[in-house]
Amino acid sequence: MSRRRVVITGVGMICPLGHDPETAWTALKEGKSGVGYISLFDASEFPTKIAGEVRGFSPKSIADLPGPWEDCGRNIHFAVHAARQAVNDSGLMASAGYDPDRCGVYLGAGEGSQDFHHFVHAIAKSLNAGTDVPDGAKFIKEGMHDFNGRREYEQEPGMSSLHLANVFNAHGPNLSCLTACAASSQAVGEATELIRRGDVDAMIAGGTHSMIHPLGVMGFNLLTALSTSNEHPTKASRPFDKHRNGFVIAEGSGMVILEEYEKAKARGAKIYGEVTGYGTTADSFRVTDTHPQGRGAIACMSDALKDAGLKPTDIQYINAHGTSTDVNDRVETIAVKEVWGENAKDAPVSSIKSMMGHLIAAAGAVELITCFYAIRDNVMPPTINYETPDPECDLDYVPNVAREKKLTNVLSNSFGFGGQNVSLIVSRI
Amino acid sequence: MSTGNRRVVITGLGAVTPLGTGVDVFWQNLLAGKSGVRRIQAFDPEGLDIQIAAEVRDYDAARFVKQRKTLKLMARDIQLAMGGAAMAFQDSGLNLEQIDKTKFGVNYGAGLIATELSEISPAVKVTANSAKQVDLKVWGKEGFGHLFPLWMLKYLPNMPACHISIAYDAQGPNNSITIGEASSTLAIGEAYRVIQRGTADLFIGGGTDSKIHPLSIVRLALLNRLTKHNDPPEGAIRPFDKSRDGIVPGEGSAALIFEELGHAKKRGAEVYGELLGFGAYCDPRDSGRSIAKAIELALKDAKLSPSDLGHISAVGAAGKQEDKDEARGIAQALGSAVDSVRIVAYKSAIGSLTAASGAVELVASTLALHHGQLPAVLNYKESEPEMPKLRIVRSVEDCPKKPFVTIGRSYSGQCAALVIGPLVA
Repeated sequence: MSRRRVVITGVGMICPLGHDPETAWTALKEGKSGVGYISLFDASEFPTKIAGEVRGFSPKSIADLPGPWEDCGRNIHFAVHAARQAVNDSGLMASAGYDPDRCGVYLGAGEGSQDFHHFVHAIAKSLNAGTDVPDGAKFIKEGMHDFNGRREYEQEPGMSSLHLANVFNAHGPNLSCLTACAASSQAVGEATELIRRGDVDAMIAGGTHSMIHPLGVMGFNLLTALSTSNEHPTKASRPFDKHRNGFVIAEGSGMVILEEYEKAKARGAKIYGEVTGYGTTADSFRVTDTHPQGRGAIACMSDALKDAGLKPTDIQYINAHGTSTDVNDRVETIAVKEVWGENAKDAPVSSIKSMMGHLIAAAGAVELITCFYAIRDNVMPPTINYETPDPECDLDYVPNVAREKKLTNVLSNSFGFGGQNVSLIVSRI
Repeated sequence: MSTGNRRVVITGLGAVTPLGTGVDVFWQNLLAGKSGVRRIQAFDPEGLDIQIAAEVRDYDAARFVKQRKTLKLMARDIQLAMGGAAMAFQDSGLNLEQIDKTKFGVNYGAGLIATELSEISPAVKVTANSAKQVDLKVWGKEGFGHLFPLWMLKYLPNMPACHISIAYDAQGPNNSITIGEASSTLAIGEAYRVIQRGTADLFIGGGTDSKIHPLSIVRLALLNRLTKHNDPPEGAIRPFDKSRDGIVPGEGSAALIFEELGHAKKRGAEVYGELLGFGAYCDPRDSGRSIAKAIELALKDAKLSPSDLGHISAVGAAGKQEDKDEARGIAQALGSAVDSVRIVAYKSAIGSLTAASGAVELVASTLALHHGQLPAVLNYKESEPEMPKLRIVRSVEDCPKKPFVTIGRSYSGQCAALVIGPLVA
């Protein structure tokens, strides 16, 4: 018996380049940057003052849906906003015979943001006199007084997937994983497996995250992972360029509706394409560093190819993880060269993080959706800010300008901090 | 619609719990009816509404971590995880030299890890103004120098699984599920599926969490989830009892080694039991129905009926509404078997281990099957009359050598159930 095939029938996205996927895709093809100065909090004295923010968004866009939303963070607002687009786009839930028991939710969802001011205020008030040592019981008393319980609760990373089950009537398996920057690709991959196996017929899958808050930016700044090219925000994210100096943090959500192919066909659904390959591995090297020879990345790309029954030369385009950090881009290049061998230059590699920045847990889903648009239009989005070649990064990165190419099979990489690697392959039907 | 015939068995157990470190001591204390709930030791709880917790005492992570310098990269949750994994791995008798590491995965249930206040407080001290407020300009200019550069890495929820993958060179699929109290049940269910489909032969699956943290306690207290029964501590958690009034925060971790049956047989491994079925369901408006559905799906997957079950490891959170919903769900799923299937609720002894609950409770029930005895539900006298009647284990009973179900449910209603049974050729 051949295995059940899984297709995408709906997409939704909110990101620094637009509040819907079509707008974002147009901007990506034009090589626009969504990076600017941080407005969500006062980052003027932070080492990094720039980010890819979702601009002009208000939770009013979801106010008509069953919330309540006021204590939810941007991560949840984005998730519901993008999922609604995907749900409407697919028409699945409104179709005759829709069975909520046969549709689940699997997200790679980030946590909400800690309420920084109340949090540090409570710490300040609970310090033992004359010391920098906080008293636990005092903190609890202060916290009980100052914190908003609902807001604290909505920070749990599993809340986004719960809200989607509630709002969109999807009662199947409800999961959320948080494997750092690989999370939403892993979610799409495992959701695909649930449909393949027959546990469900459809899934809402994707990711959402916003770490553009004081503790989020601080954490990455302390790790020196972020670009500090504050003078030219739109130039800061420059994957594979010799002068790259870190990633640019961004926020948003990408959601897809995954469906079993025969069922989608039977109901006359619009089909964007098929998820044909999924590979997932661990570096098992160091929590601070990627494996220097790209062992895990090589294995997950190879596994995805094997899963799809494809050879490297069947892939016309690689959507890179391409974070714009020194190590990632070098190692990803090594890994692609290892898998593609002498054909490496025939599979152009580009990173849309050059335009959007890095959406962390949501990055993979947004990039996956981009791959479906790339296949639809036969266009590879560019890597912008590619100005000075790096001898160690010597592939075709689709520099600066989008390029037409007939696309049938596309591979998308996501590599998480700590060593989780995911590759997804999507194909034209 | 099973896609393959690969069977998955449990060949190793490890646990770090409020009843002790190691499955033997954990089991002895559980069976003896001891409680891991005591007055909070992590800080002085004087004057607080909640003064008790289920803390892991006398745990030394350094015993379980070969690369000692990595300990400083590990928050409490991660340190707890390392012990469970090390003991499970050792228990399994696996030899790293003899396994295909690319077919060796890790899947953990993990929670939002709260930052140690003392790690942030030096920066707060130097940046707070006289009103004890922190201006972000000052924070950015002067605060960062007082913080640990690798601060963030200590608190990412995927780090327990990362550190474990590194310690055991597990290069296969690696995931971290973050669905509150249902996390590790879902993580183990996924590990089961990944082995079934052939992507891996071997998994360390489990969960870890610590809620013994002032911020975590505030969060639980603000949701009104904590018990008011502080005295005596061991009497506080009363699953399904009519006087129940909430949970006790806990901490711990557990790990299980899951192995494809042929792989286990080939190396002559001792088998504790077999994973027979898994189901997950989420109706956010009806958690009783969700539990019933998850159990039904898991039984269907296992091709079993309720009367085939020996016992159910209930969530038994001891929440007013939660237990009522759960009893309804269990009764619905069991139908007429409700009179015969025994119900245990380990939280009565070990508290709410949140993301670790599912794994620790699965270890407990696996041990029950192994030893042939079921521990009593502590502090259970009687349910309110309107609650469906369950056959709750009041004192130690024989554990039928039959399959059991273990349930994971998040506070917000995501549910999962696993069916595990004795290995039958």
